[in-house]
Amino acid sequence: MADDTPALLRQVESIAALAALRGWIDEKEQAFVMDFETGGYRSQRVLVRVFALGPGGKAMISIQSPARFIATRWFKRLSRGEALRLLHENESLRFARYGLVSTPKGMIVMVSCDLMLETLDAEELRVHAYAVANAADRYEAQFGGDQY
Amino acid sequence: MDPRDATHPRETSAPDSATEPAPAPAGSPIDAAARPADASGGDSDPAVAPATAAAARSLDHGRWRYPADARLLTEILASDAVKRRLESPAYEIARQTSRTGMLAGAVMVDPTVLPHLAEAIDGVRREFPDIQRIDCFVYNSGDMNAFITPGRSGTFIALSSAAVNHLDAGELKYVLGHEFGHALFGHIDVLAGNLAVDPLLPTADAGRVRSWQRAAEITADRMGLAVCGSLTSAARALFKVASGIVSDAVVASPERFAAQWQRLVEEVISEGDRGFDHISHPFPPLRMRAMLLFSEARAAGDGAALDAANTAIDGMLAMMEPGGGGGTLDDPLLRGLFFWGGLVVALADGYVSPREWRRLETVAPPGTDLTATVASAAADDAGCWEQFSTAFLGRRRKFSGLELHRVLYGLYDVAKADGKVSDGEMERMRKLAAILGVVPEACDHVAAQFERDLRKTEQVSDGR
Repeated sequence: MADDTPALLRQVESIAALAALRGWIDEKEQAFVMDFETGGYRSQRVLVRVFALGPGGKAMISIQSPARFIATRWFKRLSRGEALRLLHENESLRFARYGLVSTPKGMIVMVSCDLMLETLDAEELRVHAYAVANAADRYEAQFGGDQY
Repeated sequence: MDPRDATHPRETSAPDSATEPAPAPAGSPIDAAARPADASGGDSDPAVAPATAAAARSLDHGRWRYPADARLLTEILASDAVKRRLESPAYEIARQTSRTGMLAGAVMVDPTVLPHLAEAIDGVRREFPDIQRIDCFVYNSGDMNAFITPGRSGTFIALSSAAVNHLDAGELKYVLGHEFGHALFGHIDVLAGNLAVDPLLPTADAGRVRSWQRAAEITADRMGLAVCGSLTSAARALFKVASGIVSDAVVASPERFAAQWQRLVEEVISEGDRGFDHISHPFPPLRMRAMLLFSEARAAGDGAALDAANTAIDGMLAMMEPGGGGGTLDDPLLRGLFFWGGLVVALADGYVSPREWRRLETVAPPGTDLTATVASAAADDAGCWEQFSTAFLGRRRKFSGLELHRVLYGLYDVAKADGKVSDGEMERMRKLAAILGVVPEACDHVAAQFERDLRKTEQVSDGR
């Protein structure tokens, strides 16, 4: 799959162009990257990554936006209450989901959604990318930051 | 998986019903040099007359090879991922399994007990005199099938019992010639059937393997034609295999069979079907049309005719590719949109420049008088807009985002052909985009993308 990534990212870029979404392919991140204005002088970065399901399978995309970084030091971690709140909010979220991504230094609260690339149309990409960006920014704003 | 699949599954055709079923006794390998000359003659077409021994030997098989077959095979074998897989123990096992599978499930037959098979093998021998020894096997199957695999001391050819029972000598010659064509050009060394479904191979490589398999079939068909020397026999064999009809009464005219291709094209375009890329063999009417084009090119006797035939076949095979042929305007399913939309865009400046003309020529519908069409459109382009809308709305399947992008990218390519894109051309592109349900601003994004790609291409060609 790794060898297919540049070509698939190029396809994502093409559909983004059709949706009049500006972005670029970040070769290091292996992602198509877009920045969204989310209002009130806030912005949110969205990354589109590609992957395949199974041998010769359909190419999928994952639209992701990091919302918060939580260092896993002894005094700072995701509390039980916060985890429950994320679960509750997940239920009310449309076109996106909250999740936790582990990194060597901590955890990232990531908003994401997955779509099939082959049949993806411009409007679908636009709606989902905005939904992910807005959900991530809304969550991040609750903690007073605009890092992403 | 049937172990035989590990080698090169292939179709055969059925013999005529007057032929006695093969009793399949154990037999001896054939030494072709010991075989008497074929005296059948039969229905050889003048265009493929080199079925006669002397002419056949002098054939330049390499020149007959369909160029995309050689090109794609080179690309596949250059892929590190493919190399790794082919060198892996799993593939060595697959090679062994195919041979043992055949030996376990088939019986060796002496073709002398089956005159039509002996005659067919003689034909193969004359066309491929370098082949030292052929071991012929028959396995019990109702499917008309044949395949070939190298053995330690010679070449193994395996035919299904249905193929032996239902194919006449001419049809068997086509089938065996086809199979030996695969052997001649190294097709069977690749284990394409395994690679195409190998989960450890990148999807792009697997797709390229399928594309190559289809191209390899075109080459193999040409070799089948060389051996049988008859378009009629080739058409009958293809028809029998595809339809399963094995009656003696089968009348498969090569021209009528090939003419099915255009109807198939229209159906595929109107449906918007793109699910053919996983199929290892081209559509039967495509194969027949490709053999017809090849035969006509050979009859014309010059390299240019063969080049033109190969180009036409490239276009036909593009119909089975997920994204068309790879070039900006190479997607056959979008050809109508490219042509009518391209004409609208090009005429924004009141005329079609020579470079724009050349672009439009490549996507003009069959039988179009481009001069008359452009003259008529220059006077009143309402018809072009209407045709563009019809091409878009007439399709039963929804256009994907990638297809719509390809249309706009292609239209920009036509506009840019003369080196510049005017405001008028961009304005018309935006109106065409609106018909496609695309926001007008998308045209500017696609244009920026095109210009960036163009700069990259120029930098590469300049060596920067």
